[in-house]
Amino acid sequence: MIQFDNISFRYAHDIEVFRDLRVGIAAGEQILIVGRNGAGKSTFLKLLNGIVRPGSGDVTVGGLSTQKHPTSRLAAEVSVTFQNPAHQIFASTVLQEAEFAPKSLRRKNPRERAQEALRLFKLNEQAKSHPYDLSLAHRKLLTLASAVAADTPALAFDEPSVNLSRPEQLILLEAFKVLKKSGKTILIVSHDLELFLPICTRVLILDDGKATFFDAPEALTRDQNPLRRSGVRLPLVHRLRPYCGLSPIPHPGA
Amino acid sequence: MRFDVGEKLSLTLFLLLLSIVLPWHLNGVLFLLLVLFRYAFRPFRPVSDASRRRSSALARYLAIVVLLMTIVNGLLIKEGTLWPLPGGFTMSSEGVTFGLRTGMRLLVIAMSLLLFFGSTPIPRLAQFLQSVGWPVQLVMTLLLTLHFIDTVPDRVSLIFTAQEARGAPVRANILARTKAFFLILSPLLLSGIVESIDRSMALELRGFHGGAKLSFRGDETSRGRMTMVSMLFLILSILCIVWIILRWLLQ
Amino acid sequence: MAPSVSIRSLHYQYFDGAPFALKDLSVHIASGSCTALLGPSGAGKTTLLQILSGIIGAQFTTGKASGSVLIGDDEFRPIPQKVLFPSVGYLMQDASVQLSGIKETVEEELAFALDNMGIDGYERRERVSQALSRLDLGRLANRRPHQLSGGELQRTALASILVARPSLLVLDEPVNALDSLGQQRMVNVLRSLKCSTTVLFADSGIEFALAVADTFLVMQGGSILFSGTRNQFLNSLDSFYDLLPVNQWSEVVRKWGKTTVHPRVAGLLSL
Repeated sequence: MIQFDNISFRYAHDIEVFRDLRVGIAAGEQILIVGRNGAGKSTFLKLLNGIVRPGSGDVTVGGLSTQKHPTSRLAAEVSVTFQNPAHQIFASTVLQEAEFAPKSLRRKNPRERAQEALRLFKLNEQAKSHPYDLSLAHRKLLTLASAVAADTPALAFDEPSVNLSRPEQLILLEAFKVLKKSGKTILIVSHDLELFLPICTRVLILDDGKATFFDAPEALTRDQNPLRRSGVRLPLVHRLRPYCGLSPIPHPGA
Repeated sequence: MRFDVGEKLSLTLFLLLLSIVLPWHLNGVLFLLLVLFRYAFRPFRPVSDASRRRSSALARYLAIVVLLMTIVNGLLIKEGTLWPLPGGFTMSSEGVTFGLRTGMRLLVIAMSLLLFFGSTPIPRLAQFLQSVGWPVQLVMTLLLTLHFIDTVPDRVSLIFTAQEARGAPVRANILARTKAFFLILSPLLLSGIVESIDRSMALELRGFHGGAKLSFRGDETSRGRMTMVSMLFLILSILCIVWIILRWLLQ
Repeated sequence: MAPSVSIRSLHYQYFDGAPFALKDLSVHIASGSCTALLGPSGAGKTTLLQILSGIIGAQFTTGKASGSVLIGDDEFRPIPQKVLFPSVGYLMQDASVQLSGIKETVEEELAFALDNMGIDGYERRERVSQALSRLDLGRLANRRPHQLSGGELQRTALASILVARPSLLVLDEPVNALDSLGQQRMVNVLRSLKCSTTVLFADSGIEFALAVADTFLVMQGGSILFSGTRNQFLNSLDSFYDLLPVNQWSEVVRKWGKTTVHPRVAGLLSL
C-alpha cells in the first residue's frame, strides 16, 4: 500500500535525513515509527503526502507516486496530522473543522462523516463549540478526528498522544481499535512506546538515515540492540515485566 | 556610510510623507530608486534570507495590485478623455491617473516600510526606542507585536500545508491562495492572541515588570542622539507636512 | 533554605459562579522534597501550580479563593497576590511560549530573568554558564531560540528559570516533549536539586515521577484523591486506572508483590 523505494532526502543546507531508505507497508497494518529526536520521523510522514519530496527515489501511496501528484491529490489516499494542533485548526466550530477534509475531498455526505468521526473521539457533544474553547487535549483529539473524517485508506499521526492525559488516551486507543477493525492502514510516530507497542503490528526504527529495524514488537524484546543503538529505550514497565514472570509486551486487552 | 536606527527611522518618515507630496510619475521614479537602494546600500539590505524572500514576494503582489487598481479605476471612472475599448467599455484618463497616483503612492509607502523593517532587526529597533525614552512596557508590547507579525507568514504556510493535506488545493493558484488566506486570518489572529496572553504571563513569571529596563546584546550605538542626518530628514518631513496642509487649504 | 509548602482548605473559582477549579484542597509538602502531582487534564494541577507561583493572584482579578497557603515562613490568606519570582520559579507546560521571543540567543534568553532581577557583571555570567552546563546547553549558547528543537526548547525554558536559583521550583509537565535521553537528563537535573530546592511537578504519565519523586499526589476534579510515598502509590495503582496510564504497572506490581523484589528491579526504581 505504501512503498518507499531508495529514498534519499536532505533539507536545504542541512545534513541528510534519509539515505537509500527502503520500506514497504501492506494495507491494514498498524506501524509504530520510533527513533531519537532528529532521526527523521516527522520527515518520513511528510514524504507520504508530498509535503516534502525525495531528492531521489520514489514514494508510492495507494499506487500514486508522490513525485507525480500534488499533495491535495495524495490526500485522498493518506491523511497526515501534525504534532501541534495550533498549526492545523482554523475553523470556527468543531464540526466545521471536522467537515473540512471530506468536503475538500468531495466525499458523499461530508457532514455525516464528520459527525461519525467526532463520535469516535467523543467530541460530538462539542460539535458547535469553538475549537479554542476546548482544552488542549481535546483540540488534539479534534485534529485526529478531522483526519479520520477524510475516510482515507491510510492514516498517519505525528505524536498523537502528546498533550493527552489518561482519559483522552483511552479514547484514542478505543478509536484505533475501531479503525483497525475497519482495515485502515495506520502509521504512528511516537516516543510513547508504553501506549502503542501493544497495539501495533510492526515497529519501524529510523536511525542514521535508514530503517534499522522493521518487525513485530516481540522481536524487539528478544533483542533490544536496534532500539539501544537508535537511542530509544523500552519503557521502564516493559523492562520490568520479565523480572515478574510476565511477557515483555502485554497483548491488547490485557 | 552608516545609518543608525534613528536616521533610518527619520528617513522612512520623510519618504512616507514625500509619497503624498509627489505626483505619480515622480513617485514611480522614487520607487525604482528605493528598489535600487535595497541592492546598493548596505544599511538597507535585508537582514536575513527570509526577509529578502518576503520583500520580493510582497513587491510582486503590490505591483499586481497597482496594475489592477489602475485598470479598474480606468474602467469605472467616466471623467476626462475617454478611450473606447471593445465590448462597449471605456478607459478614462482621469481614472487611469487616479489609479496610478494612488498606486504609486502605495508602492513608495510599502517599499519604504519594507526597506526599514527588512533591514532593521527588531531588537535593534526596540533598543533605539528604549534609549529615546519610550516606557519599557510599551517597547515590550511593540516587540511582541512585531515578533508576532514576523511569524504570520510561517504560520499561514503551516496551516496551508495542513489544509492541502486534507485535500484542499489552496496553493493551486493565486485566487485560491488569496481566498484561503482571508479565511484563516481570523483564527490566526485568535490563536496569536491566546498565545500572547500566555506569553505575557511567562514574562511576568520571570520577573518582568514595568521598572526593569530591557537589555540588548552588544554596544550598539543606538543612543538616541539626534544626528545631523536625522535632523535633516525630520526637517524635510516637517516641510512636507506644511506643504500638504497648504495644498489642502488652497484647494 | 528550601521552603516547605502547606495548603489548607483551598477553594478556587476563576470567577463567581464558575465550577470550582480547586475544592477544599489541603496538602503538606516537605522542605527539599520532590513531589509529583499526577492526574488527568482538567484535574486542577495547573491551577494549583499557578496559584503557588503567584501569577493567578496577580493576573486573575475576578478569581475567588478561600483557605490559606503557607510557603516557608510566608503565609497568604487566601493565596499569593503577586508573582513570587525569584523565590518561586514556574515552568510552563508549553516551553515555546515560556521563552520571551525577543532575545537573539539562548544565552541572552537565560540572562533575561537576571536582567529583571538587576543582576549583572560577574554574577550574571557565572549563573548563566552554570545553567548552561547544568542543562547541557553549552553548544547551543549562541543558537537562535526559534531554531531549537522541542527537547532543546524545554531544556532552555527550565534553564531560564534555574538561573534565578528559586528555592521552590514548580514545573508543569516538564518532560512531555522529551525523548528517553531528554527525560533521563531531566531526572538527573531534579536529583541534583534535592534538598537545596523544594520541587513540585505536574505530569500526566507516571514513569518520570517514579524515577524522581519521593511523594506522590493524585488529583481529580479539583481535589487530592491520594497522597503518599512511592510504595504506597505503587500499591494503590489499580484505583487510578481511569486517571493515570497505570494498567501495565498494576500487573507488574501485583506480580512482584508475590516475589522478592529482584535487585535489578530495585535498582531501576531506586527503591
